[in-house]
Amino acid sequence: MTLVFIDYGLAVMLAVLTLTTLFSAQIDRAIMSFVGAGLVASLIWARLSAPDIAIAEAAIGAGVTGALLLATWHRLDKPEAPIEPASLLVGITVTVVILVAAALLVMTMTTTSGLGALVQDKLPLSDVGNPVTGVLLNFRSFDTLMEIGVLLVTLVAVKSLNLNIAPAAAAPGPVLDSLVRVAVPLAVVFGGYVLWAGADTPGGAFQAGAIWSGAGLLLYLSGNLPRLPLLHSFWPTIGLVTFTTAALVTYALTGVVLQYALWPAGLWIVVIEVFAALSIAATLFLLVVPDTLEGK
Amino acid sequence: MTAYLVLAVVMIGLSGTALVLRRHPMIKLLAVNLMGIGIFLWLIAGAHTAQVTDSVPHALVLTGIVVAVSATAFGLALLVKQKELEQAGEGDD
Repeated sequence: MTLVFIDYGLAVMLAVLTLTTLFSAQIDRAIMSFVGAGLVASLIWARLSAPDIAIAEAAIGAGVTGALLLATWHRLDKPEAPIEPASLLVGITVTVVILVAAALLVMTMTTTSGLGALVQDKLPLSDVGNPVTGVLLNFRSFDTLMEIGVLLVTLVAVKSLNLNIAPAAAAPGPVLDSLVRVAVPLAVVFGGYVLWAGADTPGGAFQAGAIWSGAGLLLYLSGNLPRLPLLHSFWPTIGLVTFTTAALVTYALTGVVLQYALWPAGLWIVVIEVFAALSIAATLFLLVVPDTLEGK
Repeated sequence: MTAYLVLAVVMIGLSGTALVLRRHPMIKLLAVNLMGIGIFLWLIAGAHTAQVTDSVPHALVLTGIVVAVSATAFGLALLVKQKELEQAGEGDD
């Protein structure tokens, strides 16, 4: 049972990284620890047989969030006011309440089979082999439609603040340039694979979109992106447009929203996923990258 | 996977403390994110105890990760805007 030690090791690592993130005096150090915590968390997801979440955590939780934090932290670096005794008291009270509540939740947690058996049972009906994709794009597809909407709303909200964030592009160098030359094409192909394979194995639109946006961010931050892609304000909407169209067409055909009919469910899911992935990639990319690259 | 359930409780507790005690808005955002990871961990470690792995919490957490990055992006944008307005205000004086 050597593998149990891996679990304890990962748990201790994540606990230490949580501490160094939350209680370090320097913001840049906190961000580094946070990105590290995300990567350790993605290893833990793999240990907990949740490979879909492992890929998403590494690409979105650590990757895109890390890029966002690193692109903005230097503009927010200000001295922190010292802790007042009153807030220390509140802090201790909050900690005790949260710890007791969380401990009670964990201790009273009943071991039930949940919906796992039901999903496995009905999986052939969803026309995909990966149960997580089945839940996201068929059984609970309306939730996923809303989620794509949340991403678009976030982008609109961020862009409406009209910020002039322009993270400084790194100075070109032989190491960075050759990394970009190898990593970007690899990420594009890998994202496509993760998207296609997501029907039957871990992966899917969110992971693929995040990997593609990572490729775009690497190009941008290394100073290799002379201008924004064509129609850059159109791509973030295409996922929601496709998904909503599918919802309306299925409603017209069957009277039930997203009750796939006429074509096999698998075909509907692939079409929705491809456009959703393009949209997710564009949205995550534009959350970091400014609207205009003029003057660069 | 008791270790991960304990870790989930520890992460939620520590993040809650930092959320109250730390004054820097960036640390507060990081605390909310780490609290999220703690809650995800609780969901997935819980799903792992069942005989058949439950895919519904997995889909839920996947959604949660995307919503978390959206909220973080919006929070950061608001903070940067606040800083910009502060600096503009100082310039007027």
